[in-house]
Amino acid sequence: MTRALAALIGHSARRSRALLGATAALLVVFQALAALMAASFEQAGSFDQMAAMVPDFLRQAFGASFLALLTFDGIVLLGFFHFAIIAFLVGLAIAVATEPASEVEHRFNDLLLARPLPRWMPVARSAILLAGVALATCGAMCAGTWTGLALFAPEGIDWPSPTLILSLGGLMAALMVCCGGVALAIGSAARRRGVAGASAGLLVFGLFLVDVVARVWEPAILLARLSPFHYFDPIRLAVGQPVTWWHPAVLLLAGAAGFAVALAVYGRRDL
Amino acid sequence: MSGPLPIAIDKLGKRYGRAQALAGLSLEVREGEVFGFLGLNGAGKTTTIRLLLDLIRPTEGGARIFGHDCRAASIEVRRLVGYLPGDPPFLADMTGEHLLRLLERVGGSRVDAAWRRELLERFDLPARHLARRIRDYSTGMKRKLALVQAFQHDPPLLILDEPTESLDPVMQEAVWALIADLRARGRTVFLSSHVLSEVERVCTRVGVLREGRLVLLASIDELRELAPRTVVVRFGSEAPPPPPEIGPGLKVTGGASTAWEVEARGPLGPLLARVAGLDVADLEVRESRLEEIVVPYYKGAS
Repeated sequence: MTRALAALIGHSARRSRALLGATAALLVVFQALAALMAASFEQAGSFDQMAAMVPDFLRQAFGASFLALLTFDGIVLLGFFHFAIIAFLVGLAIAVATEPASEVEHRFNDLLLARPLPRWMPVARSAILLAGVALATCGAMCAGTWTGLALFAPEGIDWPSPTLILSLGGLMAALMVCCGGVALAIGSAARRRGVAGASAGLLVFGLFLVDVVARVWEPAILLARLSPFHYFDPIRLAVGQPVTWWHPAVLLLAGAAGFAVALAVYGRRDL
Repeated sequence: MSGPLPIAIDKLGKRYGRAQALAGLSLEVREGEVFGFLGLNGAGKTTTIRLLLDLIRPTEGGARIFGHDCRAASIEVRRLVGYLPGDPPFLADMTGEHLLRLLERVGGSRVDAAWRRELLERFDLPARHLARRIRDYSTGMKRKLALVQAFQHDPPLLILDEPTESLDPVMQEAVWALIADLRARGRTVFLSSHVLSEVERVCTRVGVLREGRLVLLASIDELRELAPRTVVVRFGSEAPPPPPEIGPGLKVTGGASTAWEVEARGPLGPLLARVAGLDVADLEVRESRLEEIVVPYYKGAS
């Protein structure tokens, strides 16, 4: 059984290794460049100038945390809260998690599950792969950050603490697992990967918007508790506030719930 | 004393919403048999096969393979089956070698390398082709790869959906030869096909499905008995006027100026006795083709 699961994981990892490798490399390079950029601003004394240039209405709208990002640490950690990177990594998690739908769509399951494989195995394969991809990509971001700091940080400047970097990486990985878990549940019921991916993407985007609304409009806060982004606030960490451990725990639990739903749905459905 | 039946289907049914894909199918396939499962497209053949493999779930009835329930013990069932899908669902970016190794590893049983080599030789799939990505394969090569994966773990039951589809005549012959060899080794084969001449050649029994219902279940010999033979008696000169009656099961149905065409449903002795002493130049007995017997069942005969 373990051999079969390992074979399935190896097969899927092999098919996506180019994408994963390229993603990890890009993230390492981006984080290293962020460190270079931060070092350059630091040496030129630009952070104070940038902070001084921020108009008052922006200071009021975004609060003190916004200014805290215009620091050496804030720029070094840019990738952990940059919208494009978050969106890409969530998309990657959704793509990985909808593989069961792809196998149904292409009827590859007719070959796989004509073998003595239990139904839970393709779902477990995708869940394990999802966790692996989340750890690998976020691990690459952490590695890129340290590499950049080691190469480019000016002498005598304090680096962001290892706890902070690992917390940001862990929070990002938890968000990927959460969104991937939801996509896995949808993908286990779908006949087409495109439909599963689009549905999961729309749902996550909708929940993101709910969180955006709730941040500026108090009545929506209750609804925002349903959004994974309610529990994902890397800027809070980056500006030095303490880690709220139950936030990643909620995200991981939501991912696990998605996995459980996927197992139940996939075990009962027609393939 | 034989063991449990390779396939025992009991009132199996599958409904998709209002559409009844399969209704009350009951049949048994015996050990060592090559069973032909026939029907037009959409008759329910592939649905039946996918139900046997637990890829889809029945809405009524059930099935057992070698005594194992296809639902409750589906893993045991699938351990005993080699399956060739009708339309091989390969992932284009895989190589043939990768696919065969993956399916060996997920299959849980080690494939005998010599047997796989023999299969690859029989189907003319050399190693250099296996190293190529499947997207570069021709339709026929994909079919050959699908055949190898179905046979490679040498299971006791083979379920083959259109096994010769897209193959050239040489490879079709290789498939039938392999099936004959496997049957000689006691393997059981359950195949669906549209090529009735081939079914007639290799199958011991056939079942015909129409709109999800089994409308005919018979051995090939029984089918032949269902249909008359045609005997053409050619005379060396002008044919004498045909007699109104020759004997039981014998009826002149036509002919030409120098021949009689006789429909024969029984022994030919009375016909031979009748033409003895006439100027007979030749006597040709035409067996009915399976098409003539089976096709009316496709269309609604019962």
